[in-house]
Amino acid sequence: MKELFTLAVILYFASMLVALIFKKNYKLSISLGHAFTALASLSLLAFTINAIPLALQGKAIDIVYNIGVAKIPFHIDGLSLILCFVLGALGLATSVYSPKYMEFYEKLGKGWLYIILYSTFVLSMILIVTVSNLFWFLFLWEVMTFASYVLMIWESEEEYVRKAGWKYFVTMHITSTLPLVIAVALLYAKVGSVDGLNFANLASLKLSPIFYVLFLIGFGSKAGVVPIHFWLPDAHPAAPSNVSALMSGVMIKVAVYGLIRTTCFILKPDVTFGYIVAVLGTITLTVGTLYALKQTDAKRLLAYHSVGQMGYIWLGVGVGIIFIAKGGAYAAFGAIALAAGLFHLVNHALFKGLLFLSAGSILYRTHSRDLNSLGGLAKLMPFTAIFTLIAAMSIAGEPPFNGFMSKWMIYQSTFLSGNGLLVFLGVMALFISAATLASFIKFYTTAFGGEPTKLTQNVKEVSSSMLIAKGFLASLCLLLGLVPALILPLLLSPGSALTDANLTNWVTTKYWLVMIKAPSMPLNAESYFNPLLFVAVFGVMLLGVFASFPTNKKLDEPWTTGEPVKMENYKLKAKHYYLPFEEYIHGLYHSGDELNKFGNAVKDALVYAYLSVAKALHRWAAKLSGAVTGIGKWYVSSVKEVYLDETALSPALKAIKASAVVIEELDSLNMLFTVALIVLAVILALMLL
Amino acid sequence: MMEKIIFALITVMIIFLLPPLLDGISRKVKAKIQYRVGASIFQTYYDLQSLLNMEPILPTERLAFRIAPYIAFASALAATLVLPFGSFVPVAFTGDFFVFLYVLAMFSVAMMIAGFSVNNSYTNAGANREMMLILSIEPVLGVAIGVFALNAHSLSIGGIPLNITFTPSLILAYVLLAYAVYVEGGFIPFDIAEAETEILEGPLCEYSGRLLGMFKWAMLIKRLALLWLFVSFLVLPIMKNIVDITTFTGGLATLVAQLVVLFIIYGIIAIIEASNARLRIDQAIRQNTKVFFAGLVVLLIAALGW
Repeated sequence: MKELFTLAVILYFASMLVALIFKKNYKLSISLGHAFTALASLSLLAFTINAIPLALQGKAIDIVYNIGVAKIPFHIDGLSLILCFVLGALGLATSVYSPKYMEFYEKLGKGWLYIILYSTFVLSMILIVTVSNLFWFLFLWEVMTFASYVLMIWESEEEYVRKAGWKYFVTMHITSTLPLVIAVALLYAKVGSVDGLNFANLASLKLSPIFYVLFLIGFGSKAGVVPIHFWLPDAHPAAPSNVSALMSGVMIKVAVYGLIRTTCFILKPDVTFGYIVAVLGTITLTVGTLYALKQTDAKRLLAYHSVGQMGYIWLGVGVGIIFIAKGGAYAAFGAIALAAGLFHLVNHALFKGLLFLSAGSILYRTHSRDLNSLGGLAKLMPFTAIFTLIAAMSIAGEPPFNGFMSKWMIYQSTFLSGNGLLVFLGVMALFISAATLASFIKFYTTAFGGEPTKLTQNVKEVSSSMLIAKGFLASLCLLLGLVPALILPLLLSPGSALTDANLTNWVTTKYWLVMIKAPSMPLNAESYFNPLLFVAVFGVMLLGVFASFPTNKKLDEPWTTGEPVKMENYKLKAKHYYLPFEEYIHGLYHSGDELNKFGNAVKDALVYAYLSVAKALHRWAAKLSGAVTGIGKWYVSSVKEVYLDETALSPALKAIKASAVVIEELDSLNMLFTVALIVLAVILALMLL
Repeated sequence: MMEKIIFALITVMIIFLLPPLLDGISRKVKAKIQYRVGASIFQTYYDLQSLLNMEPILPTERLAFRIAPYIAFASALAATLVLPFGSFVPVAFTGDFFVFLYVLAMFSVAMMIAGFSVNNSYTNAGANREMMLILSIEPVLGVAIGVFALNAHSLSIGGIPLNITFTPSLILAYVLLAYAVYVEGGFIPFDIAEAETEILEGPLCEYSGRLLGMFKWAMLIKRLALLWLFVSFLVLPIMKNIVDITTFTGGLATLVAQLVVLFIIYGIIAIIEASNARLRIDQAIRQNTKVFFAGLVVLLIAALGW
């Protein structure tokens, strides 16, 4: 079983190698590279499915990789497997989808570099969710941030991409990496060795509450939690759509994993902390989704929803932490709430991945993501339309799709908590679910509804490989909605590992039924839902009505009450949807914008401080490097021949060059960047020592 | 077994045939209040019959437009099947309040997707209004459910009415629930989406013949589902003290009581409808928000245990 995991890791490295070998041929390098990443994802999925029975018994798989200079330990339990499943499923979908999609970017070249970054990005996430040493966790975290950053600025000749990338890079380092580095440094000071940073060892320590704060900021900002969400709606849409799918689908989930791993497994679950997470989640879901409501750019709309849906996940996880920490009769209820949050995590990865791939398909064919100018695509891209509709209904939480099941569980865990505040959070979640529905009805009907517009009239359906990738995710959306019992036991395992309560009395997961009990619930008043029976009843009735009242297709023009209106002017544009409501909550948008300005001011101030320090460091480094160069010159002049294999270093140089494009935004970009790397290297080196 | 069959037959009659009759009665009541003669109380049956016999003409090839009436009909039916008729629940694929709401919401989803899928400003405007109305009423409904859940420690449609204890906040929750049900049912002054005289019945504007008939019938069944839920919440807590609901006669008595209360409520609604004019959408949003904030106070009272 361990071999499957190792195989996945090796295949990711192999994909980089293959891409390098065929670096001259753009298409070949990408196709072959993605063939390997697809195999790697399959192998990861196979590993996950094989490992689930072990995780359900509360056991874990331990692997140690000896890379010569260090031994990297891995500890794979139920929580890790949930993320492995997400990475495997979404990794497979993007691997199948990307070769065709990346033709869109052929003029930019560098296919091999894309594959290397893609593999690095996905592999780093796989390792983050399995590694069991905080030092390596942090190292991989930085690799992930860096790889995602370079992938994000792939279209770096576009100004908005560079700006978004810069915002992402700076914000992540100040609000995510920095708190984590501080936390790790403080812990290192306590344990005194890298091996001491093992999760198991850290869990045995008595740690101060400051770590809750550091981890909350570090992981919260990566997850896009309000108020540190402002970078996300710029960052995710800027990337190529397949990368956006991974960023919104998995990368922000890795932050949730980090939060649970550190604050529940290393630190102890804490009631106050749980409340903070739940309240932050509710603020996030409200703000993110209400902002999404007024977006008319397809990918930006999706990115705002990523913020909003992360709120749901945090709400579930927060309620889980509260009740697991309270223990007693409520411990099992907490485990169910945690499972609800994790269920939404898995579901959001599937449907948001699918939505980004759909937006990518639209972009690929129409070269537009402006919902105001799209229309009628259901006629021209019927399969994409069906898959998008499934994803839209999933995220809007309509039964029988997966998004409904997880939202339903989140409602259960808030409304049945017997706690007024948590019930209020549940009410907000219910309200925002309607806003999500509104937003996705807009998304679907503006792009796919109505008659084709000037922009879309000659569009064709995308190729079969892209459709297969989307179909795979769409069928998973349906499957997990119909048979949640396929994954629920795994989702409950982290909760049951944290409590010693017997969950079988509180939650029943059979293939045809999910039933939840809460403390002090009267007899015969349990909450249950039987999705398969619902679909059977609904399907029979639908067919029955369809057979009783059949219709044929007799077409005519829409009725214009006699006015000579052109058809293209006779449909609502995306920007006109829900205007009275948006005007009504204008105050909220306004205060949100003010908050945003404030956040940006803080960010700018921090950047300024950072720059000043960096400049000073740079001057110092320049002097130092001047001295070093002097030695080097002396060496070169005194040694007859120097054989420096440039090609060996060129990939790294090019990667740095690609990132350096962003830095041209500011005068001191190259300098700043080198200094950032140096500072990071120094910190890592100090920690190693 | 025999008893179940009897209940099933009565239930099927209630679900399919009662809604048009209720509408007919409501129309008659409104006519009387407005000093008109009004049509026969069976007029809605005649309307549906003639519509269902006519071939529709479609304004677009979009499949969503064509299948929306079927989805709407099936979802209204499916939602009704989980409600308690006496002690009889026709098809208990769930007992949960939220599943009921979301299944019922598929009616509106189908209607809105269909409305937005046509190049027609009237259907678009109607769908747009429907969504905004849902947005503004959803929090009110949420608060009502929240108070019930705090009171009864359950979210089960059958379980809540049998396990509530009467407190001030609970009575206010009933008021909130009644308000939410009224708005969701699209009764005047909240018939904003299907405003017939203003935007040509909004989302239904492009429908004709059989498909229009399906939609109208489904709409009436949806109203029945919403009102039946409210009626059950009213009747079951009282009847459980009078009869044993689980027995055949007790169940039958409860069902009769539910029907009587339903007719009374439909009559009251007709009176409210006859004496009100449609609100503008922005007025409705504002009013619903006020109710929501009042609801938050109720939630606070409930959280304090009163």
